[in-house]
Amino acid sequence: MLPLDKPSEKILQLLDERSVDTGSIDIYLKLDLNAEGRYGVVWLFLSKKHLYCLEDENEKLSIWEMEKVGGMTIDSLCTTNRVVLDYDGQSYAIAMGTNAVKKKLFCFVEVLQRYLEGESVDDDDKIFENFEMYCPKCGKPYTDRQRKVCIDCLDKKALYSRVLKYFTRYKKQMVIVIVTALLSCVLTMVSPWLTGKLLFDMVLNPKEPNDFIRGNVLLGVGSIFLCAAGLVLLQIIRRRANATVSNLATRDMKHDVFRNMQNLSLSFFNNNQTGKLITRVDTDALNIRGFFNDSVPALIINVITFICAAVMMFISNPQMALVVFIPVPIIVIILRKGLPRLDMAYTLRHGKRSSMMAMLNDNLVGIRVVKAFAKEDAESARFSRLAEKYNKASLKVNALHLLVFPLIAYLIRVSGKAVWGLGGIMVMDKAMGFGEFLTFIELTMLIFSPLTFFSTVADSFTNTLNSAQRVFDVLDAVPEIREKPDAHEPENFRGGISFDNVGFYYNANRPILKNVSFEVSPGESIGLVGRTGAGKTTIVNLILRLYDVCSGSIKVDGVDVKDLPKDFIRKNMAVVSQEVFIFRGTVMENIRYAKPEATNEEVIAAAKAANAHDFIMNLPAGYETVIGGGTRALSGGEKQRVSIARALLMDPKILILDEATAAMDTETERLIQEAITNLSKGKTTITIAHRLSTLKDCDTLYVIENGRIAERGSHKELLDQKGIFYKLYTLQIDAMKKVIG
Amino acid sequence: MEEKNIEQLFEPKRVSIELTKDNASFKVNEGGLVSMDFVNHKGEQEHLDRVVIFRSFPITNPDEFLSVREPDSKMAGRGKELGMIRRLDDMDEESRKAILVELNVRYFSPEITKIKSFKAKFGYQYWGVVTSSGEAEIVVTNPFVNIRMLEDGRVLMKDIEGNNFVISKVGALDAQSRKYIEIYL
Repeated sequence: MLPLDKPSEKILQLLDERSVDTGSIDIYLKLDLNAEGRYGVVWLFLSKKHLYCLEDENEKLSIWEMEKVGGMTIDSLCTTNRVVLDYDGQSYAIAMGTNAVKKKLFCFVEVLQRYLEGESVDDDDKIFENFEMYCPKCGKPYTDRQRKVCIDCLDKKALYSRVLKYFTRYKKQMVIVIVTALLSCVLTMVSPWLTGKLLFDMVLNPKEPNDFIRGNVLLGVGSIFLCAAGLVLLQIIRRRANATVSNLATRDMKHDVFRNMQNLSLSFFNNNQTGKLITRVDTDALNIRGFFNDSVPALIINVITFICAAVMMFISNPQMALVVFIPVPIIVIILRKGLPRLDMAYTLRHGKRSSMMAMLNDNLVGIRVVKAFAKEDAESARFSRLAEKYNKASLKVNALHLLVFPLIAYLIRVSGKAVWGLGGIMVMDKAMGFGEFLTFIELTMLIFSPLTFFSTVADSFTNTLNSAQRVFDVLDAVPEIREKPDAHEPENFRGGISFDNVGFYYNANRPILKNVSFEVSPGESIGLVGRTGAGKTTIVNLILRLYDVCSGSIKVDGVDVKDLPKDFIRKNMAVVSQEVFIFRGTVMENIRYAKPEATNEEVIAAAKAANAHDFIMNLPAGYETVIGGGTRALSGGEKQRVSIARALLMDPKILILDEATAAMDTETERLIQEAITNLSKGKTTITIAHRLSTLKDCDTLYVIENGRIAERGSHKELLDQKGIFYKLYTLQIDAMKKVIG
Repeated sequence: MEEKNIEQLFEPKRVSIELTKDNASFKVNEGGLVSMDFVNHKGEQEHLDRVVIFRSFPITNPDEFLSVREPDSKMAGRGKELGMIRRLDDMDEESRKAILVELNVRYFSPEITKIKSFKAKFGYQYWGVVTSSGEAEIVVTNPFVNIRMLEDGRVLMKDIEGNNFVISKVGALDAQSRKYIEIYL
């Protein structure tokens, strides 16, 4: 049996009753919609001879003979997928499934198609990979399919200990922080005793009046001063060490996030707006730092202080201690109720902030378009709408904040006053010494300050948890494109490329490439022609392994690109694309981007070959002029030439020109074409172009239409075919004729 | 000779026309798919065993500007446009029903009538809902993008699988359900 879904006992029994030979069934598929479009279970089974469909509810069984099956297709609708069967020359809609079963559905169809072609399928076939989409522990679907981490089963403790690891790396500083924190605790506990019991009861009011010694007063006061000074000193040392650790830890974290982001596949970036990513690296790391800077050492001190003070209070006067502790349970209840709400409000605020930032980013990047359409006012209005939403979310946070915490502060104050009252009576009744009373009051201060702290720390705990989760989201995102551990560079790389039945989609609803097969021998130059969106650039992206194929395989020199190291692929292939990106830096740095060790001679030679040398020499600082990042604006054609120089400098085995010369005037294009022709000798070249003149030197042309290769051959062969290429050709000739008149 | 060749080459195979009850009728065929009989742009009567129908404005204006197309490739399901229906209500009753059969399947978005359970954890929301198509457990992430309220008061929800759900009127839900959803609106 092939590994797709497992049939339940009930299903097997039902099949037995209907005298279906369950032994012959190879694959079971469980769908989640019934014929009426309601949630329900419908099964599809397949044997070599028959296709079955069984509806769970009404136990209706349909059987089709494989001999008459012409094929099965999935009609990808907007949110559902309809299985359409070609049977005896007629199309039947036989079953439906939501997007949850889509992948399995495609797999089932693949198996059926192979059966029709007389092939067999083994259970370890790669079409069965990637189906474990549900958490084995709780059965919920993985929220992020690439991560396969069940967020629901992840515990917060693990999250904290993971964040902590960034800090505990710096052992020396951490030891200093902890030791000074502990010493601070000791001094904090000693000081109430010094001011109260020692100074008042023992020095100022000794039991025997004769024992009063002025020197002792000085000693008492002096020790109080010393204690306070020690506290301040310890605090300075602790804070310094603490600031160092947290800065280093945040630096490490930002670095990790950035590096991991670089390794992620392009699809991750397609799913996340850039603004949101920037927030992640920056604000979230800052949040975490703030938390560890202010909260963690303070937490240690406060916990110890709280416990010690409580114990001392109960020893010195249990009745008064009870009065102090009465509001504690009420405070805990308020916190329990309030914090989850606050948590939600924070998430909401973060979301609103992110969308505001993303909009800001979009706007700044697209400012030219905004101005061209005179949409400044509309954009401002859009921004203020988003800002208003953020404002509302912020107000919600504040409103909750201002309800929960003042309430707690009030309770604390009330019980504090009660202690004063009760203590005053006790002192007057001589049940307690004035010094002892003073010590007790100071202890009360010590117990309430941690309580207030606990309530706020819980707050920043939740805030940090949110931030930490988002940071780890990026850190844990596994690149879809992974290098195999046994990937190795082939020797004697020659640059042949072959596509074998390649299929690809970004979104399973919309296939981009379907069964594309072609072969490029080393040194051959091919051209890809086709309408915008036909899939030409996708072919290039797949060769570069920016994405992985969904079916079929791509081989370079007979080795699957998946088995090659990423470095190797990109080092041996250079792309000049229609989107040119110039990094902020000098012209020199930009050209040397792919090959930092290139000499000045090489750079100039490449620039000359790309016809960029002349305009570079006209820049104020020649090759050392800073360009990109909004500094000095180069024209589209100039940028393009810099990027061509960049690619030429790499001297790759495979050269890919994706509309490389589209932004240039005809004369410049011709000059560059010549340069490229000279340079591409002996190199495998793939040229994508709309202008057919750009493709005049290609050995073979492929016409891509709707993700398929519609025509292939040399110029002449294609013209003779009188197909799509001929049409394009005559169109362009026609346009030229009209110009000439 | 050459000239005529070029003319033929550029003559489109299909020209999208306006489909009305006078020139087109739809039926649900034996296989559960929709077929169309119509008078094409050349004025010829034509029968297509299977057509696919799309909405131009599936959210705000579902019953106008329907695009009727040839089923194209095996997977994409979007071929050349045969014509557009300006208003669904203008078609005859049988055609209207047939078209709706197709549309309801294509734009399957169950209506949420009750939210039974809700849990939010780490930025993901787990909803137990009762819908017009039965009960479901759905997982939503990034609610500020995937749960949105339209101007007419409807709420659209999109789960992580890409399935769509609708709440047509939040006010009509019971108090408990409202409490769950309201934080996200």
